[in-house]
Amino acid sequence: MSSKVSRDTLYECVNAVLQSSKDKKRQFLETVELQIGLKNYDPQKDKRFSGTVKLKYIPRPKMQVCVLGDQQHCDEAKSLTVPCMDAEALKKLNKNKKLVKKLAKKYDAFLASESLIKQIPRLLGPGLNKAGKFPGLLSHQESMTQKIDEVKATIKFQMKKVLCLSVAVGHVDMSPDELAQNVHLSINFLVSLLKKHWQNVRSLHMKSTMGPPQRLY
Amino acid sequence: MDDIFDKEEIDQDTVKPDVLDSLFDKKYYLVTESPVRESKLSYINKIHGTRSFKFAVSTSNNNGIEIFDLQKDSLSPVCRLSGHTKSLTEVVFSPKEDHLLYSAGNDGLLKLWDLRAGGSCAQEYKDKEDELIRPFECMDVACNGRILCAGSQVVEDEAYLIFWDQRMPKPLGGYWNTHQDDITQVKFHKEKAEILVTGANDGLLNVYNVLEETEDDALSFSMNVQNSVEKLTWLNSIQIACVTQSNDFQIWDTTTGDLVRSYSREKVAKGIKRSKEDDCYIVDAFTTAEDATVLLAGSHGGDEETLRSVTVAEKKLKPYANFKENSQIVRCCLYYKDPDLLVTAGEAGRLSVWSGRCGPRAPRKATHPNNRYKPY
Repeated sequence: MSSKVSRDTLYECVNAVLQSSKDKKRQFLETVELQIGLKNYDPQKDKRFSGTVKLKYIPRPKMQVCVLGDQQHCDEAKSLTVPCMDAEALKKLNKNKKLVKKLAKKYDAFLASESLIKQIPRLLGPGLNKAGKFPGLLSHQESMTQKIDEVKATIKFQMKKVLCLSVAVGHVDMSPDELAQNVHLSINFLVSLLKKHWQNVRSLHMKSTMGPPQRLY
Repeated sequence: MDDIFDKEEIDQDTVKPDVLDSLFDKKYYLVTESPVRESKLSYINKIHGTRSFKFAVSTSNNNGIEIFDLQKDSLSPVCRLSGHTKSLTEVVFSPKEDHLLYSAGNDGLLKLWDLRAGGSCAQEYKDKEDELIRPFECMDVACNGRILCAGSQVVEDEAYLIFWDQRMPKPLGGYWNTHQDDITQVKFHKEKAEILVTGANDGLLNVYNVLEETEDDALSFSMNVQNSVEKLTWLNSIQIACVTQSNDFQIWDTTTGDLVRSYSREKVAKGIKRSKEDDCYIVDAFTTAEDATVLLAGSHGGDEETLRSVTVAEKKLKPYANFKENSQIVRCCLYYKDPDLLVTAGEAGRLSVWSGRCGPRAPRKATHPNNRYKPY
C-alpha cells in the first residue's frame, strides 16, 4: 500500500484552514470544502458518477430538517422540538404552489413516515420534487434523532461537465480531528467511485469559504 | 487515524476455483463474438434488440450506431448509422416494427431510422424551442409504438421529460416539475402504454400515468433512492430494478411505491465472490424464464475481466453463472427468455452472445408466430 495523503499533510492542511479563518474572523460560519481535480476521465465515454456518503461529523449543523409525520412521529418530534407537520397540516396547503414552495424553502430537508411519504405527490403536488427536497423515509424502527443526524451528515458528490468537483465536508468551528476524519472519509469514498481509483485523481485541495486553498494531493 | 492510502490490494476471488465452479453452476456458452467496426478505443454504451435477434449498439466514437443480425451462430453487421453530432445516449427499437429504430443524443435530437431503406433517417424529433438545446440523456418508446419520451439534462434550471407522437416531429408536451436534476432513465411499462417510470440524478424514481391531464395528476409515486440513478429495468409488470451510480442495487414496487429489496455494492461484490468492493460494478438485471431475478455484475480490477451473475433470493444474492470467456468491462446487456440468450457489450467495443441452453449450440431464430408477441 502506498500512502497518498499522509496523516501529517492532512493535519497540516486542516490546521492551516482553521488558522486562516481564525486570523480573519468572518461574520458567518465558514464552510470547509474539498475540491477535487480529475484526470484520465473522458466525460464522453466514461460513466457518469455521483454518490452520497454519510460523514462522521455533521458538516452543516444549521441544517433544518422537518418531519412530515403520522401521529406517533409528530408526538415524538414535538417532544424533541423538531419541526413537524402532519397530514392535516399538509392538506391545508391545498396543493397551492406558492405555499408548497414556501415550505420547501423553509427547511433544508424533509423526512416522512411511511404512510405519508406515498401521499406526498397527492397532498403537495410536485413542489418538493422540484426543489430537490423530496423526503427520505423515516420508519418506526429507527430513532428519529439518529435519522435526522444522518440526513445532516450525508453529502453528495456529483461531477458536472467539467473535470472537477467540490463538496462541503465541514465548517471552521470543528476540531482539527473532526475535520480531518471527515476529509479522510470523503476522499476514500470518492476514490472508490472512480474506475481507476487514484489514477483518476489529479489534485485534492481543501479550503474554507473565504480562505486560501490548501493542497492535499 | 492513518494516512490515506491507495488500496493497491488486487481484486481476487474469495473462494478456490473448484468451489467457484460448483457455486456458479449455471453454464452459459459463448456462442459468438464480434467487434464493432470502429472498435479501437470505442466503447459500446447502449444495446437494444428486436424479437428477430437484430441488435443495435451505440458506439462512443463518431456517435455512431451499428446494427448486427444474429443468424445461426454468427453475428453479421447489417449497417452503420450516423448523424448525431454529440454523444449518443440511447438506442431503442420500435416494439411494433423491427425495422424502425430510435436514437437520442446530447445534441438535443431524437432520430428515427428506417433499416429497410439502408438505414436512412426517416424522422427527426425536436423540442419546441429552437434556440435552446436540451441534451437528451435517455429515451423510450411506449409498448403501443406510438408515444416517445425523452429525458433531458438540466438546462436553465429545468430538467425536461418531453413526449412526442411517433408520427409528428413537434412534441405533444412535457413535464418539468418533478425532477430537479439530469434525467438519466425513462422506461415505459411493457404492457401498459400509459405507465412510465423515470430516474434522475436527484435520487428519485417517479411513476407517472401519462393519460392524466396535468403533470401534477400524472405523478402517482415518487420513490426516494437517495442516490443518482444509472439504470432502470422492468423485471415484471410490477417491479422495477434500479442500479445507482455508486453501484448499489434496488428493487421497487411501482404499484405501491415500496422498496422491495436493496443490496449495497459490498453485498454484490460478496455475491459474485470478489474481494474488493471498490472494483465491483453492476451491469443490469433481468428475469429468466424460470421467473428468477438475475443480476449481472463484474469487476474491473484483477487480471481477468470477471463477469458473473447472481440470483436474488430473499435477502441474499445467490451465485448463478460465471462468464469465464468474458474479455471486457461490460456496459450493457440484453436478455431473451426464449431461448435463454444473453448478449453483452462493453468497453472493448465487442458484442458477445451467450447461450444458456445445454451444449454450445446455436440459438434458433424465433419463427414461431406464437412467440412473436411475447418478447419479454
